[in-house]
Amino acid sequence: MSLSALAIVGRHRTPFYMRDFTIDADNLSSFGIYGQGGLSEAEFFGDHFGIADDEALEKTSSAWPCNLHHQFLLQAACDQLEEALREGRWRPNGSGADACWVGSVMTSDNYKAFAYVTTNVRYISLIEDEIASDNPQVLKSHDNDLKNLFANIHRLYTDHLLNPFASPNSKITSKRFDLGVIHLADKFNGR
Amino acid sequence: MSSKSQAAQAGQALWAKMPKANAELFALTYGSLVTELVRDYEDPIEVNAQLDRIGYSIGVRCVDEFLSKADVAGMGLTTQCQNLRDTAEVVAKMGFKMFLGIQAEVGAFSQDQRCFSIYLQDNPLSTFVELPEDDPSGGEDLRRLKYSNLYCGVIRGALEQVNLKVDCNIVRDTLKGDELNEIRVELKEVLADGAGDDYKEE
Repeated sequence: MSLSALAIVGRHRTPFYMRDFTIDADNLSSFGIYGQGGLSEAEFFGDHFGIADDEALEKTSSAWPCNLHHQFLLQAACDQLEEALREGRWRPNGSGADACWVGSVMTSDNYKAFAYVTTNVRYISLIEDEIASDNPQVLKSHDNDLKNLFANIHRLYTDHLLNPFASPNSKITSKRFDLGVIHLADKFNGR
Repeated sequence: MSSKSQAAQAGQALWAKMPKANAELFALTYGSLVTELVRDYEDPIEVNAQLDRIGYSIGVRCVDEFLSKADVAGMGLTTQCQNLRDTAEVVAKMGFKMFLGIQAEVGAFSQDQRCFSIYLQDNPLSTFVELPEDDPSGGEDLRRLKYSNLYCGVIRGALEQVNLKVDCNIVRDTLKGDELNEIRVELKEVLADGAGDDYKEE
């Protein structure tokens, strides 16, 4: 089980942070642009950003250190989560990290998407699961590991918000946060 | 030196008696102040100047409280600072300790004994702060911002009230990657006690 990608999305589907954690990602520079197909990212994700200005659009959408395939899956998971929350299929229960834990929102190929919601933000992660297991104990410990991961990312996020230069409604550009998340992901992936 | 440990001890005693405030709230308040200034003035040099002015007005008021409390702690008017070295010790060991609870060191005295440095290991004002990277869209370069410039103003204001005109500058800043914060203080002149030109003896 390994963490492939993480997205942090705000209340109105505005993405604050999207990142890949695959081994290829280490070879490329943090905020570089990955190879694209014919369709530019700007056109592909046009309506999610709702920005009229083309230049700004291109700049924002090409700035995610996350390849298109993962971005696509993250966005789809985000849609599912949104639907689930809107229809009230999930209610917070328990306390602490348990209360924010939503669980699996989507499955596709090898990837499972898990979500964790807090007051202003939703965290969506793509987990690559090689071995599917039905053993409830394994699933439970699996869930607990993920819950801890999300709780730690949440802590990093609150620390980031305490920086007076950080705006709660804008992209997360803090190097400290980025490095912290990469470190957590590496620990989780056992690297 | 006896005055050094005396100052440190007095500082500790003073800090124990002062009312305390929440450090996070303090840091967040200062952070909002700085970001508002940045929003208003845009130019980081101008923001530094404003922070210095704000610090100045704080220093001018703090020094009276300091001197009145210091009297009780045994460093009163009878034990005056004989030279700049003593002044430096008092500012760092008692002043910073009393108001902020942090341990500051002095050092780097110049040849002519007119300059010194104050070293701060941790800076309560800059908890959680991370200076934003250069804005690629051509925004102002916040690397020129001296986030803790308030301290410079405070020292300048406080020392001016005791007739020492000084210039203060932040030369090393942990927010910019240095290991500690260093404030360089230079004595410009010792002002004479006077009522000013407007007042003329009959």
